[in-house]
Amino acid sequence: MNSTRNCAHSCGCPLVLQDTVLRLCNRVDAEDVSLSFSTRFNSREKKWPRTRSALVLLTLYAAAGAGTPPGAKLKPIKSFKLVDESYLYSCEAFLGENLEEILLIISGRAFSFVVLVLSFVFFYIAIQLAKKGKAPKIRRMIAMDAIDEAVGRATEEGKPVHYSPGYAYMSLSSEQGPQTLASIGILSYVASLCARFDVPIIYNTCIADSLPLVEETLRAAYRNEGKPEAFDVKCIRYQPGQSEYVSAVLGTFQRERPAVNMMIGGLYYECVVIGEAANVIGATQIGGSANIHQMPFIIATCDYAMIGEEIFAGSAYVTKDPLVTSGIAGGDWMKMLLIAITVIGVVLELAGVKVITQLLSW
Amino acid sequence: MSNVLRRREIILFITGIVGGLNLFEYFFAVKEAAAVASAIRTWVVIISAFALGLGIITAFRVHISHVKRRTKGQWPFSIWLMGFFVLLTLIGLWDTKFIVYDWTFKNVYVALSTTLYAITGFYIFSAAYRAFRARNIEAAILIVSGVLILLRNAPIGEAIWTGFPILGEWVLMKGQVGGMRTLTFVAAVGLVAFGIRTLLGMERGYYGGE
Repeated sequence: MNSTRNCAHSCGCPLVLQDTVLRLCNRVDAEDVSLSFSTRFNSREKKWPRTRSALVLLTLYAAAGAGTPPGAKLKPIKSFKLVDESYLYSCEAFLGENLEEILLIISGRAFSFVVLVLSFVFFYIAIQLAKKGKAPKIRRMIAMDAIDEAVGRATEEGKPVHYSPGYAYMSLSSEQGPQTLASIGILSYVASLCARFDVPIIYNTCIADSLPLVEETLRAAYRNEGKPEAFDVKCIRYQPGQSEYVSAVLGTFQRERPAVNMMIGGLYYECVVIGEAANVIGATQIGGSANIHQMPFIIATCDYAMIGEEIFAGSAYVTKDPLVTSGIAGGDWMKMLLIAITVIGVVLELAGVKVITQLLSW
Repeated sequence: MSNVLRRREIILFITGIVGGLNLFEYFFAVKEAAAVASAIRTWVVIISAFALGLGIITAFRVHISHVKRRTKGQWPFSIWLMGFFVLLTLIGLWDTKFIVYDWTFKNVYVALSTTLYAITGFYIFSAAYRAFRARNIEAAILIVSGVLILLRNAPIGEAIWTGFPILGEWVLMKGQVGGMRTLTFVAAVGLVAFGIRTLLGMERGYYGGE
């Protein structure tokens, strides 16, 4: 599919067509049916509407049927098929006047929006239940419970605890950012324990923009334990790259022999290297990441593993505050709903009914 | 002043506004919201650039301390690190065409990074050795699957029996896909839940809250 061709009318709507064609191609799978569509020229502003708004219109109205001539009368359809791009570009049709103003939501994201709104509703219900003393129960997270035991071991051995959030594309603003934030949330709890039991903590990272957050988190943890003077900012060690970071951690292990290694966050290849190096020095290990590709290495190298979403729930779990943990339950309800939709979708899809598929791409 | 800026309400307010605006911009085609969200993302880039400077200060603070205290097994490396940092900065400023800088980067940094990455192979081997112990039924399934994948990838597998690549392919493309997709799915929902908790101010750990 040549998606860079201009509209046959030379009307200045190449982006609209390009984007729409790509979207439609992703949705259709059958053959031998032509497609006709168009968008509305904004006569007031003398220009074509913004791409995103136009997409809604374009995907709502299409004429289907083999051999449909250009300029055919349009009708709304629920599924459409596409074969001939040149034919597509030569089609011409017009829409009603007010659709663009009414439908602001971006095409293909409506279902996600509904899911988000439902999530908020579930959260609200869970919080209200917690306020009434009927907090939903959440399951035990063994890896989180093991943190106390691990810090206790470090206390007995008189050795430091090492904590690391992984590579995470070296930025909080990357797609790995939420994992780093979740990791810092867990760090807050670990640092509190370390402050309480006078165990030194070492934090190695290559994520520069997380440094102020980490420093504040550690400082607050020591302050909350009544030992602000015990906090040494030099326990935060920054290395400006993945390889430097891995090397620094290996060096830390060799020189300072921590009793505990925790690596929780957006882990990449460092996970296996750090994990194995920690095993060599006999450290207790707690690992966790939502990066599925690193999961086998975490499970192979660590004594306790947080799988996938557990790292996101971890910082809420350790608070033991029913109001906060009810948020985890709200997420679980959402999960159940989505699993139900998935199962129903599979059954309907096998029966040839594409309602759920269309709903997901709404 | 710094205590005022550290107030929980201010942090929550900024988080809520920034997060809410970007969510709105993602779902709705409103020109004004897109402009504001775009400006916020530009600020993120600027703040990140400042954070890099902070990172350098953090690193120097730690390493100068090591040199001052003559930390055993550490201080010579600290001198090496700081010396090389200053040297490369000067080269970068002086060498406007980046010829020397590029040469140094490719022939020192990239070579060292590649070497370190290559070590991963050995670590994977030792991790696999420990993981592949049939302590229970799950571990036994893991071993069988791992061996099938090994025999699929290694030419010797096909030489032993032509069925090994087929079985390995099945494990890779079918057997494990369901589990991996489940993890991805659950992690995604967990991420959404985490985002909502953050927006609602229920996640306090990341800014030092109790």
